[in-house]
Amino acid sequence: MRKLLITILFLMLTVTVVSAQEPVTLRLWAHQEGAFNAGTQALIDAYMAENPNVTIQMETFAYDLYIQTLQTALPAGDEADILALFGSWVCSYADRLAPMPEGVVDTSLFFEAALDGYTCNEGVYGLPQEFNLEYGAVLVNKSQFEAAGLTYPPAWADWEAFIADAKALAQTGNDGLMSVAGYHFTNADAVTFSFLAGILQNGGDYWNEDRTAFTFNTDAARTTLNQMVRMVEEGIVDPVLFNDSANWGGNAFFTGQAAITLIGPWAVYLKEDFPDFGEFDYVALPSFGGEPHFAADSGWGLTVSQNSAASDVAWDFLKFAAATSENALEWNKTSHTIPALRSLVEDEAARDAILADAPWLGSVFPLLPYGRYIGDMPDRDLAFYDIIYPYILDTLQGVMSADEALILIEEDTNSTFG
Amino acid sequence: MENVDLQAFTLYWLVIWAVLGSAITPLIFDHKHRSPWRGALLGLVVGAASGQLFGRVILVLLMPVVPQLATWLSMLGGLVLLLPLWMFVKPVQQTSPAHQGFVAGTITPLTFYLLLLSVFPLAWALLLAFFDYSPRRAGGPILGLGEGNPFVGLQYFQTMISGEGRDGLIFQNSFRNTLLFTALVVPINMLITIPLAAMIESVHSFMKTVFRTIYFLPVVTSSVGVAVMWGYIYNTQYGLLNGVLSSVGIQPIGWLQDPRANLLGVPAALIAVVIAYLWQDFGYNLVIFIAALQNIPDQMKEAARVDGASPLQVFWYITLPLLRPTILVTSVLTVISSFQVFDLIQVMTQGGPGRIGQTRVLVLDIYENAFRFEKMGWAASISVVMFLVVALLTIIQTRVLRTQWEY
Repeated sequence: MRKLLITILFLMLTVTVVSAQEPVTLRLWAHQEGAFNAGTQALIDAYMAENPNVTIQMETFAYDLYIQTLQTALPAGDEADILALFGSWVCSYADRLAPMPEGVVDTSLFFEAALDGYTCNEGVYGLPQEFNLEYGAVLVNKSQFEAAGLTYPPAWADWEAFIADAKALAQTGNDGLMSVAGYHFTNADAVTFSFLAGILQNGGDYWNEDRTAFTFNTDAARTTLNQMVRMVEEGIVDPVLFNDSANWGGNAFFTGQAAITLIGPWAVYLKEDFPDFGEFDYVALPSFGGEPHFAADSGWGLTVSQNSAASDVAWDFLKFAAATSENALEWNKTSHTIPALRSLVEDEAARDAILADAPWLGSVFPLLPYGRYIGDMPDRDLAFYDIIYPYILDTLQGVMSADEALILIEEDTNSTFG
Repeated sequence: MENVDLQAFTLYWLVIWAVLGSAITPLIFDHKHRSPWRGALLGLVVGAASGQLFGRVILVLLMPVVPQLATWLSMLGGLVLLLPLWMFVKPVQQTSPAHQGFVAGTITPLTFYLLLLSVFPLAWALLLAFFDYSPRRAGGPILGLGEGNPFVGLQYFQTMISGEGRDGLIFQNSFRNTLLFTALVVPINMLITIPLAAMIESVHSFMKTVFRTIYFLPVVTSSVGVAVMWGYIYNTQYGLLNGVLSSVGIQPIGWLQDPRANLLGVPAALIAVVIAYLWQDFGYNLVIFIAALQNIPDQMKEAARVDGASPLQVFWYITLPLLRPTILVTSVLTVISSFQVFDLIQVMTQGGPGRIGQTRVLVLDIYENAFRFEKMGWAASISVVMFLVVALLTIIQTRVLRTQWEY
């Protein structure tokens, strides 16, 4: 009897070992972005070297095509096993994604702003690879600061000091049109994230308590919008000439038409298109009010399809790629992104390794703990680009009042809840 | 099989074998003195069924053996049942005198194509107008309608009429802008093209060709290129137009950007887009009018001149009335193309300036709702309204400009 039991046990173990080594093929979808794809491919190669029975094939799509493919493939169930998604999209796809199995990863390893986009109804549906930041630091043009007789690099003590510099940097041409914006914050992303950050820094919130509705018609929002209007009135920027459709911030900065520009650190790489552009830096903005709180999207990361036949292996790859410090560090270095893992910012060696390649991120790292996920919006792009931005731009252009804009922003954003 | 997009192959098998089946079978049936129309229908059904069934079988059987060739060979699935049909169908004695094998073999596949690729999408768009449909949501088993994409009845059309909420407001604004755009484009286009065609018609034939070519060039130029070029002309800081205005002491205008700029209450951005559109489009009507003018018999004009009519009177009382059928055609075409304006506006203004969009037109609204915000149902309902308005305007134009005579 005992022999029989031992034989059965031996056979079971053999079967288990054989099945563990069965070849597994996973497909991974991502959008086409050279540095991102190179970083991901390096992770795939490293994972396959450690797990010879696993093959991961990466398929990439042009950005627009990727969005359309996700929108059609996910409902049809034709998607790949692993999907690279922007964190702020994840909850809208959550019912088609595989939640993280219990205990795979300690989620406190990540910055909350980076992880919260992946957290839907208390389940975690993916792991972030980067901290996406659009507010908190600005590009500054050295030659324009020096020509205006201002301290460079600037270290503004408060908002008033910043306003004074921006005002001194603005220039008007002979035709009466603004030729250099002192502070270009009138792109869609810059306006929206400035507005959200201003609300938080002025002690308010743009969500109600249970996060079921937006609250934009508040004192904090009014104070923020008036602070933005004041910058226009003081001649720091002309929002008719400098906005998303004309003199977009990145181009305006690298063509010398904006001395200070609010934009994410990714814009530093635009310099490659302007080889003759002189020296510049990326420095932290002072707070509108109290602490430098800001709202942030959850950046790019990895998720697992609900239809994956090997979701456990896929999740193991996610853990390997996003939650293992050394792998995450390599990905951030290759893709020039801000880490989503706290340890990579807090650990001196890791931080130095990142700053060696991207020194401008030094101004951003102290801000990261103040970041907060924008929140799970029914349609983030609609709210940002078709409601908040146009209303604020109209206010800055003098077409409507701040009070009127706040009422309409609140009404229209809340109507997106359907 | 994992890497094969089965949905795409299902469509390939259907289209290839339904078309080939319905194109070849009638010729064989005709040859065997059988009814070619029956052959076309049989070929369509057998080809589609065989393509679907045996395409799948070939793919499943050959994929593990020759994965590179399996997908190509699966394309031959339709032949499995069609070949026996073509070979073994018996000839009959009684002959049809018409011999319509070729007619049936061309009309049937084309009709199938039209039904599959035009009528079906149109019908689906009409159906979507009554559903809150988004491709991201899981719907019912039939075309994804129902369940996650619920039936909403006439709700969208009520929203359009009432103008309630953000969608209603933007629709009404887009509708107004489209009407204003069309109201500006159609008469200005006619006012430019008819006299210009008459002038070109009166010059030497060599110069006529030169002018015709020059004026037609913008029509065959890419709309995006035209939009970029006009964008530079209208640029507030460096644009040619503001350069000219500045040189005569006029303050530069933010043509495409300033929501406050207007001319007699019409937004400057809309006027700017209308000018760019006219520049690109009027050569098309011009060529049609030149051709129409060439068809007007000289005797009529000659008779008027003999009666003492001045050149202006000849144009007004002879040429213009005789151009009425051409004016009908060109105005209908211009109304339709004006309603469909999209690329020029998308590149030049993206519907702006202003929060609601001073140049936002219906097609831009449809595009944004369908492909940016995934509100396919709402977008479909706007396209239905647009179709009805264009149809109505066409009927009105046809009635007003109809003639009871020919020359």
